[in-house]
Amino acid sequence: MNHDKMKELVFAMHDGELFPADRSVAESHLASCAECRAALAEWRKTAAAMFPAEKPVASEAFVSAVMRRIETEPAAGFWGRLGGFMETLRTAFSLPRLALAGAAVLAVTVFFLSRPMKTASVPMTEAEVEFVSDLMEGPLQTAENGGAALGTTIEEYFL
Amino acid sequence: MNEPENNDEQIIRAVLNGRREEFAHLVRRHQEKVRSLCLSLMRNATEADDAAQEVFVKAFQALGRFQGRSRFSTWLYRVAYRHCLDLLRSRGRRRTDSLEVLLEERGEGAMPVAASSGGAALENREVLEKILSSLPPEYRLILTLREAQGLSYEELAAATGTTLDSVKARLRRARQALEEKARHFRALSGV
Repeated sequence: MNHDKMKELVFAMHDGELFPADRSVAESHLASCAECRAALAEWRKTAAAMFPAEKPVASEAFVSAVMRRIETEPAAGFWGRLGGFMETLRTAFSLPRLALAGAAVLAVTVFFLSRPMKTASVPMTEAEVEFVSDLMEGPLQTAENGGAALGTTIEEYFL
Repeated sequence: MNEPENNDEQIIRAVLNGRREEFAHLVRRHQEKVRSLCLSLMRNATEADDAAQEVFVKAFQALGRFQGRSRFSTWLYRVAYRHCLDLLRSRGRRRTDSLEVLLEERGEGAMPVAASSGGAALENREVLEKILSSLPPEYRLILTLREAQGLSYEELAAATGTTLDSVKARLRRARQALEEKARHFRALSGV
């Protein structure tokens, strides 16, 4: 383990985050490394000066102050949340915005519905020409006698 | 008052069912942790209590989103963490005078004199506050939670919404940054 990793281990020990096996490794290193000892001592001094543990005394006045502030808040449960959600909707989607959005949806729908339906004109195969001729109960018609032929579309045959 | 932690969930259910007065039990039970964190950061009892009250109001507003996957106290720390981070960021934006400016205003030899005078505590406190204020808010907050509040790495990960590895890395960088600032201060003040 390189020195930087050992130093991390030493600080993890200071934080009380090591299992016993790692702790003994860190302690052995600390005993033999003056640099890590100095770094840890310096940090402990800095931390004690910078981060004193502040322990305010429990206070009923504080509880009352919080409760007074909460009195003006909407309820915290489902109905409170629903109220908040409706309020968000109300501010995000005003009536003119909703009307505009509705008109846009209607216009797009009308545009698509008013377009003519297109069907594909696919030339008939030989089997289809035979099937249509059978259906018409006549002889197999050819291009020469004005009937269907390969390549004729169904629309052309019946027209 | 040391009521068992699992009572928190019963109180939360009651509050969510409309009995908002029950929230007072949660405030009573967790006020010391939240107020202590705020006081460690603000260093001013009035400002700290105001911030702590805001944390509880935000917790009340967001209570419906508490899903019970962690302990309520952990979740509350997370609410407090976010709120304090916002406060520190807004303080940082307001702050215009740096440590260098403070030392320049006092002259080079001011700090040793101040340290030996009767007003030493106040003088040092002001400089300490400047050093802490010059840290990125995330660093200051994680160091406070670790060193002053004694949160474990796991609790820090839950409070900050990050992974254990990220907590370790951030803590390491925060310590390095603070040590550098402190060394810089010592070099500037000649102490």
